[in-house]
Amino acid sequence: MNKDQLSSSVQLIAIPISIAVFFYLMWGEFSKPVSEYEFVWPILWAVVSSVITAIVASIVLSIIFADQLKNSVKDERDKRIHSLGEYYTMGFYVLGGVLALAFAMLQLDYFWIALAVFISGALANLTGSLAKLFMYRFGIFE
Amino acid sequence: MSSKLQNKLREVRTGSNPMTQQQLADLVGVSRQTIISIESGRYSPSLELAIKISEALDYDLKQIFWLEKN
Repeated sequence: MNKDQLSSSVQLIAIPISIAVFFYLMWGEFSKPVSEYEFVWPILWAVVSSVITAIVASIVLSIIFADQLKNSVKDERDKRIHSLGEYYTMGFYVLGGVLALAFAMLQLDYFWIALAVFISGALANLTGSLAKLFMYRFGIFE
Repeated sequence: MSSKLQNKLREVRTGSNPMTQQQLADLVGVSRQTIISIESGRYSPSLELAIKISEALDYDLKQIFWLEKN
């Protein structure tokens, strides 16, 4: 395992937890009209939980794979996988931005705009991380 | 017409002057996983890396890597 694999693995743990925290905290809101949703704190807690999970998971995985990480060399294959992974990540960010723009132009409630940005950000990192780990395991696809 | 880079790196590496994957990786400055990926055909090295590998094994580039046309 190298640092990029560790970072991608950490994202695979942290992001689902972040999404779960968001929907858990939002659960009680769904019975209200959308315009009355209190979504700011759920999003902030989701981000905080993601950061905390990422820190803890990084520490744990760094301890477990200490030897492999110490001897890891970043070479051209790692750089290629990283840049391709970022390409997939960027796709979802762009999609989220376009969706948020469309929602704003349609004058939808703030919740939908925030949800589009939050979910696309989470999916962007999740997809990028999955793509990187997949390419490390099965080879590079372009 | 598409083409794919093929290689017989494993055969050459373990041939007359055998070398471990780690030794070759250290010589050319990549990880052992990259050598494994090249040998199994899951990664096509850059021209620079292909040249470094052929020099490290003291072989001509085209004896190790070649293009297979589909």
